[in-house]
Amino acid sequence: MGLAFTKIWQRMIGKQEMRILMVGLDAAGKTTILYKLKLGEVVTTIPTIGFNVETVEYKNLSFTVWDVGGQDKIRPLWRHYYQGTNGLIYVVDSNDRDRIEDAREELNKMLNEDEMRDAVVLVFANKQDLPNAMTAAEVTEKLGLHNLRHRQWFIQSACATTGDGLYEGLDWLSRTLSSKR
Amino acid sequence: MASPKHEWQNPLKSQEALSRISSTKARKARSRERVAERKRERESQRCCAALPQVMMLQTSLHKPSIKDKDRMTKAQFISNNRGIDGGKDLPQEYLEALYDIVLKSPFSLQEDEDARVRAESQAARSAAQKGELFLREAWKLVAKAEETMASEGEARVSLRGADVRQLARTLFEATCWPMLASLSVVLETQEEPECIELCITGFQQCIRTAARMHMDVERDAIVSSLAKFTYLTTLKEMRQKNIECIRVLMAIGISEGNNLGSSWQYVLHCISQLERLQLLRTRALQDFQFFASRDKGGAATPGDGRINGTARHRSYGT
Repeated sequence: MGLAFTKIWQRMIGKQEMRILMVGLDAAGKTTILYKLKLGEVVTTIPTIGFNVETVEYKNLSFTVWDVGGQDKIRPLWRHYYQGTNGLIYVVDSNDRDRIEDAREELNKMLNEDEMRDAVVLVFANKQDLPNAMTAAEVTEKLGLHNLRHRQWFIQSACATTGDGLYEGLDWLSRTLSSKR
Repeated sequence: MASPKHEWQNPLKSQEALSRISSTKARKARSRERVAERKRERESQRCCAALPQVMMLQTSLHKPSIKDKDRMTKAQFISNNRGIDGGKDLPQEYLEALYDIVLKSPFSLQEDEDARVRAESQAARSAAQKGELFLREAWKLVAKAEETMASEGEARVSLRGADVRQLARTLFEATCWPMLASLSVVLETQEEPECIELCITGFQQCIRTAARMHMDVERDAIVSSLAKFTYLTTLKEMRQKNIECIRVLMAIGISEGNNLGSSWQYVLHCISQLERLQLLRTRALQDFQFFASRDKGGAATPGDGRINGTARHRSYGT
């Protein structure tokens, strides 16, 4: 009884904590997205060696976002953050047509891991402000998202520097994660 | 003193006695062997006779689809085995012991066991369940490794100490990413002092290893992560653990200075932020204010804190 009450109470006022892993190839704009969400402004970033971690509060959720560097040398680090991850934010540089295939491979590799079985996936098709950027539909097709089975996923076109689309993505994430609880 | 006759007789006698004893011994041993053999035969006959019933017992006791109330009882097992030993009954204690053995240790094939473990791990949802399975698996690995080492140790003693630097490098390459991930997650989420101390020591040792082996990517990753935990570069409330991180980062600058290479940028950044905090504390002007005021012709009166602050700042840069 007490436990049930605590749960209701938490639902009403407390923030549920969610662990989010944000990955993607290097120079996709992960760190820029993270700080745009956290501070609301665009910061100058350097390539992330290692990771950044920030807590972003949104609606009734508190997201602890782990932004792990995307250079191929440190990609082995990704998998060690899978355990206990509720959601995955996968950031794609929509302008980088040459490496979209790499992005697809890395994503598939990740989603096949057992520890990521229950994680929901939000894809940011980033850098939409660039003239030659692929649309969200194009990115969906190139990443093979329609072939995913038993997986809740959502793609959102975004532009980290203006902040377009970022909160729409978080909206989906918070709705999906709250309904899963 | 014994006579020569005696001297000769005694050894002879004792010789004879010895041979007699040994032949008796041999005979006894032989007869024992024969008894044992007969016993073994009898036992194997008994086993053969009881085998079908044992198989049924195994199925009845351990098949998951059978309900508990339908499982074979000890009394049923004994009554099932009536008259199987060439028309006679097997001794009751023997059957009871057999029942207990089957109950305690079900027969199973390795493949079945593996399949069962796999199904269990896939079904495990809660963290506690997963943790328990993980522990069980880990202990199995430990036992297996011990067994292998024990058997290998007798066969060939060619264990080598890792005195080759290259070996340590390879080992560290493989373990550094998992270590960084676990240390960072624990340091971010936990508050217990003991936990934090261990994590920070872990960071320190990892940086030391990476720096001394000139593993640039790994070193940069670990140093930058530790620098992030100082919270000097973000807008977060600083706690005791973050202050501890600052202390250790400075200590690393001092002890590993020659090998830090490009990782110095993270250390220097933190030092400069720390400096800035100190300036704020002494209410001195910050750099941009200082220079702005000087351009205007030194409108601001120079305070002690400011002068000391800038002087210190310069000394870190060199």
